[in-house]
Parts: sequence; C-alpha cells; structure tokens
Amino acid sequence: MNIWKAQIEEIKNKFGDQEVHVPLMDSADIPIIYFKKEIILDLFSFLKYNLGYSYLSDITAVDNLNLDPCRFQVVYQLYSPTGYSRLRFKTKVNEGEEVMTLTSLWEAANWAEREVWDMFGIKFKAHPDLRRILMDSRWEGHPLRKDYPVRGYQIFPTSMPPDPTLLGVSPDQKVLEYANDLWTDSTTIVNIGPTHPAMHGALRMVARINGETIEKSYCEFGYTHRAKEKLGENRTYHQFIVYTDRLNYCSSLINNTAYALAVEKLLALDVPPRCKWIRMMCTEISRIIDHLVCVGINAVDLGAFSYFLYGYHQREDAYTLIEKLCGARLTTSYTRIGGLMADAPDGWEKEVKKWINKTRDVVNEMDRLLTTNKIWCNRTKGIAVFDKAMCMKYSYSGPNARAAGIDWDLRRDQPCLFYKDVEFDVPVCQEGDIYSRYLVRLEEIKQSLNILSQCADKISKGPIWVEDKRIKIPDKQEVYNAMEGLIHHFKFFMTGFDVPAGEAYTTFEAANGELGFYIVSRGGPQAYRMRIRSPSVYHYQGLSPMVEGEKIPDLVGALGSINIIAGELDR
Amino acid sequence: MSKDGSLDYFTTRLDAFINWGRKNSLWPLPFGTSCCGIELMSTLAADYDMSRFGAEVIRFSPRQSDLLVVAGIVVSKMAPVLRMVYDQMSDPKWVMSIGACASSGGIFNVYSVTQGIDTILPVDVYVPGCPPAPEGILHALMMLQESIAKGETYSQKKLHIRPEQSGGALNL
Repeated sequence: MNIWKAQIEEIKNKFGDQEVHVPLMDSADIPIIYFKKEIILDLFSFLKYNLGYSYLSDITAVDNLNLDPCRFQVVYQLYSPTGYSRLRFKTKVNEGEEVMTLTSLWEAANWAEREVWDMFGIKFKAHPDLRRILMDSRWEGHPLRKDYPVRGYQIFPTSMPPDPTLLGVSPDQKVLEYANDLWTDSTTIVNIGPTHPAMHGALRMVARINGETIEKSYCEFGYTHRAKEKLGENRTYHQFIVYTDRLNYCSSLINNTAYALAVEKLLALDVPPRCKWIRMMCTEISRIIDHLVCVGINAVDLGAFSYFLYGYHQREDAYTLIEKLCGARLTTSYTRIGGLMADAPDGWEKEVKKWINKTRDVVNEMDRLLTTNKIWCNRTKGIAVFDKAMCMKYSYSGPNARAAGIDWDLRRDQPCLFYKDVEFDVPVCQEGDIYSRYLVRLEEIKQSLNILSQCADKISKGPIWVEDKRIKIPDKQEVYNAMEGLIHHFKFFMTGFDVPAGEAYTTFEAANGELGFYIVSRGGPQAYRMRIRSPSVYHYQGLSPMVEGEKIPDLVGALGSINIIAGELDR
Repeated sequence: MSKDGSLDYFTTRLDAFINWGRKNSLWPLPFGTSCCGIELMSTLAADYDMSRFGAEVIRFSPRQSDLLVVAGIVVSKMAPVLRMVYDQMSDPKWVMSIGACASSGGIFNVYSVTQGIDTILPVDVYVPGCPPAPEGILHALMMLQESIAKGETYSQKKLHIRPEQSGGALNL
C-alpha cells in the first residue's frame, strides 16, 4: 500500500492533477489511475523507465453503454517484476476517438490492441497493423460491445485467403517468378494450418520462405473462438465455472482455481484451509499433466514417439485421481465460489502419494531417455532462441520466460493459497531456446511433485466451504427434506448470488504462465465485464519473430515448445 | 483347406465382403480443434489403443483418409476449412462428430460458433459428452463399423452432398 502511495504521488507530481486522477479505492485489489489519453506515451514511458513497471500484463476495454457519456474505457494492467506490484490505468474514449498505440514501448501491445479494435471497435493511432484478430476479416460489428447480440451469427462461404502484402509481396506479383536459382533464391509463400498436424489444434501461420528458411511470417488465430468473454457477461458467476474448464483444457483445475480466487477476491471471502490445500494439490497435479503433455507432444513433433507414451500413461493415472475427486477427466468444474464441488474421498492423499512416487520414477526415466539424446539435442539446442529482452517486450510469462532467464514465478512472488508454506525451487535457464524450455518444464514437474508430497503431508480434515449462506450451495440433505432448503437451492441456481460492485484483476501462475481474470462487477449475479488474460496469446505473438531465419522443421519444434493451447488462445 | 484336405469355401455377396474390409481398415483424419482433441489423443495412445479396432493409421492428409473425426468446436471462421477438408476426401468417407460442441454447439450458443457440424456436412455417428471419455469414442467407432458393414452410412447410400452440387462452397 505504501509503495503505491509513493508511486501515485510521483505520477501526480509529474503529470499534474488535471491529467491524472486517482479516485478513492473502487476496486477490490489495486488502485486505478485514470489519465487523459493525450499523455499516454509520456505516462507509460515514465512508468516503464522510471518506476519499474516494465511488464505489460494486459490491455483491454470496457463498454459502458448508457452508463457513462464517454462510452469506452481502455484498461491497461502493468506489473513491476522488481517491486512485485501491479497498477491499473484507465482512459476514457468515446465512439470514433482514437488512442495512441503502445507498440513503441511494448511489442506485446500489438495484438492486445488489435483485439480491442476487433471486439470493441476502438481505434489505435499509429498502430502498425490494425486488422481484425479473432473474427474473420469480413465480420461486421464488434462482438463485445453491449449492443451486439449474443447470438449474432455471421457465416462466410470461404475461408480467409492468405494475404501476401503482409509479407512484403504485392498481391499481383507472382512470387515464384523472381526465383533465380531453385536452391539458393527460391522465395515462395506457404500457408501452414489451420488444420495441420504440427499446428496444434487450430493455429495458422503464413510464411514467406527462401528455400527452407523462413524470411518473414505472420500468425493468425481465432479458429476456435468460443466467445467466453461474452458468455461471462451473460452467465451467473456460478455458471461461468464450466467455461473456465475449456480455457486451457490440459489443466482445467488451474483455471477453475484461478477463477474461484478471482470471484472470491471481489466477495472478500477466505476459504477454509482444507479447501486451499485441495485446490493447491489440484493445481499441481494439473501443472504436471500440462507439462507432460507439452514435452511429450513436442518430442512427438520432432520424432520421439515413445517418449510421449511414457508421459501419457502417467497422465492417465493422474486422470484417475481427478476422476475420484469430481467424476470428470478433462473438464472438471471442480471448484465452486467459496468452496469445492465435493470433498476429497478418504485416503485420497495416500493415493496421490503413491502416484507421486511412481511419477517421479517415470519422469527420471523420461529424463534419461531424452535429455542427452543426440538427435534431440541437435534439433533443440540453440534453435528458436527468444532471449530475456525479447521475452519482456512480448510479455512472456511462466516456463517460457523462465527458460530465457527471467527469474519470476507468481507462486513465489505473489503467494496465494498456501504456497508460502511449502518449499520449492523455481528453475531458470539462460539460453531461451527450445532445449531450455524443455529443461525448465521437466524440472518444474519434479518441483511440482515435491510440492504435492508436502501438501499430502500437511492436509488435514476440516470443512471445505465458507460459512456464508449467500455463497454456499445448500446440502442435498437439506434440499430434499426441507422447504427452505429447496427454495434456497432453486434461488441459488436460477438467479445466482450477488457480487458487490467493484473490480479486480486476479493473476495466477498457470501451467503456461500468468493467467488473469479481470472482472468488473456492477452488482448483481452476472459480471459486467469478464476479461481473461491468457498467457498463450502473448506467447503465440512471439512465434513469428522467434522463428525468423529458422527452418520450417524448426518452426514445428518452436511451436511445440511454447505450448500454445487453442482454447486458451482464442477463448 | 479343411482338415481332410478337401477344398473349403464359403459364399458371400461382393459388397458385404468389401464392406467387411472397409470397416476393419478405417484411416482416420483427426480434425481436433479443442478439448475433445485431447481425449482423442488419449484414445489413440497406449492405454485405450484405437488400433485394436483397425483404425490406427492416422493420416493428416484428406486424400489418404476415409474417416473424418471432428473432435472439438467448429466456429464460423473454421467451417469453410472443415467443408474443404471433407470435399477433398475420396469416397466412401465417413464422419464422426465427437463431443457436444461438434454435434450441436454444446454450451456455446454464441455469435461465433457453428451450432453443430451437421449444418455443413453429413455426420454418420455422434458421440455425446463434453468431452466424451475414450470409452465413448471407441463405442462410436464400433457403431460406425456396424453401420458400414450394413452399408447404411450416408456415403454408401450416396446421400451425402457432392462438391459439384454445392459448387464446392458451403451448403447451409
């Protein structure tokens, strides 16, 4: 709190009260600073270079239709990796007005601003490439505006063609014609995806290649855009839990937990210890599964098929553990706001411990199988390097940032649940290539196993729900046997519970990096704005510069190593 | 040859024989877009092992495969791509729709999502679930094999929409 006070004073002194306005706390977490949009570049370069807010966490917008004469707010979330503090900045924009782009300060702003344009129709001045990003280029309207209907379908007869002008080739120029020599100077344009075995789900890249070398490329996504942010505004807080499963579906329990924490922050709730321990164990099991899938698939893409089968078998066993908790394998919907769907069955911790021991052996075996393998090393060492400076520019987080030497883990730096009560190391590599991303993930699996076994020792019996009648789902016993219980149950599921007005940005160290939920509540059982900050978007944005100058087969390895999950990418 | 050395034989109709061969050598093309794709991967991996049913030759080229497995959501941006993949497959071809999203849009009734892939191509077998467990996918495969043996699929009855009829574009 004191750091913020000093920093806000500094900002006020620099820019004056006219330009910067800090209202009394109307958010549940961090101060909001409103600024006039004319000073944007000065303000953010001051923040970046003088106050240490060198990491752009997110850019989004809120549509205040009929609530505010100035229709939109553009919201900037900044993080200071040295001071471990966050600040939120807002500027008001009316229809037809433009905001200066931040791409000159952070490359990561490029796609974030494109998304704001696509979803809200707010233009950014001097933006290098302001095209639609999630929707088709022929789409009409801006889906996240409040006056866009939830079911406003639009259908197109053909797929979006590749655009050679983005690769520095004019549209009527036949690229193959200026090939002088087939082997040394044969430039051509290839389209990879959206249905390509190496493009993990539904990603697309269009590249101008010279021989086998990628000279320039651009990425496209939105081929699994399921409009979860729009649904978040049209579902109650309880109903939205199922949608969080389908974000990063390799580790849905992490999404469930992060979402529950976000809403609990708005409600100012604190869940009982047993609930926290179970949530923590769930997130660590999920992290292990996610990393096993990531390194396994990365190895398959580069030709090591059997390696994938080792990891997959352990993953099946982990799914058995998760099934015992909630009955589902992949889409768990296990957490509830203020509690859990059900308590862990008796002896579950012991089974987890057994699984830990077995997994430890398997991971060591996997380590021996691949880490020193000559082919693997040749295919991954020094390939697709993304160094520390680039990672900061492109807002990388999680294992991909740690592989490039950014020593930073939100579990350690902003501890939630009981992460400060367990011991674990944060593995960091320096090279930033595919190999170090692999090493970091493998070591993180081992660290997560350590955390898990500590949790299994420390967990104790107790309640799993907060004692709050508004939030708690009534017991079935009560629902079936008492009229009041039945009414309570009916009201809970039909109308939901009210969340006080306010807003909060909650971040959690997910398997891929910083997963954030920015929820704006205007009271009532539904969120006014549900923003999901997914790490994959920022990672995928870095793919094009990462593979520039690399060969096409290395693109496959690079893409597998940054672990893009389509559900999280497109939301 | 039977045990006493005499010639043994049995009679069958040619199409039944061909269908028997077809049903036991399906070459799937996994069109996995989201969560269901992960469960499809589990089905293909060692624990569930789809190769027990003669369907392990995964081919990512539509020219080489005859079973289109749509696992996951198909949004309006992806729908033309899916139709193009289907049109590129040679006859006879079958379509399996895995999960609620592919079959009906599931919990995503929103602006971007196709409400079921059967609005763009004929589907032979649906698998319910969000996502279905691997057992469900295997069960669907066995059901598909049964209907192939009987010759009851869209493609065998020539009921599926031909590309020349739809002009190669979406037939909605």
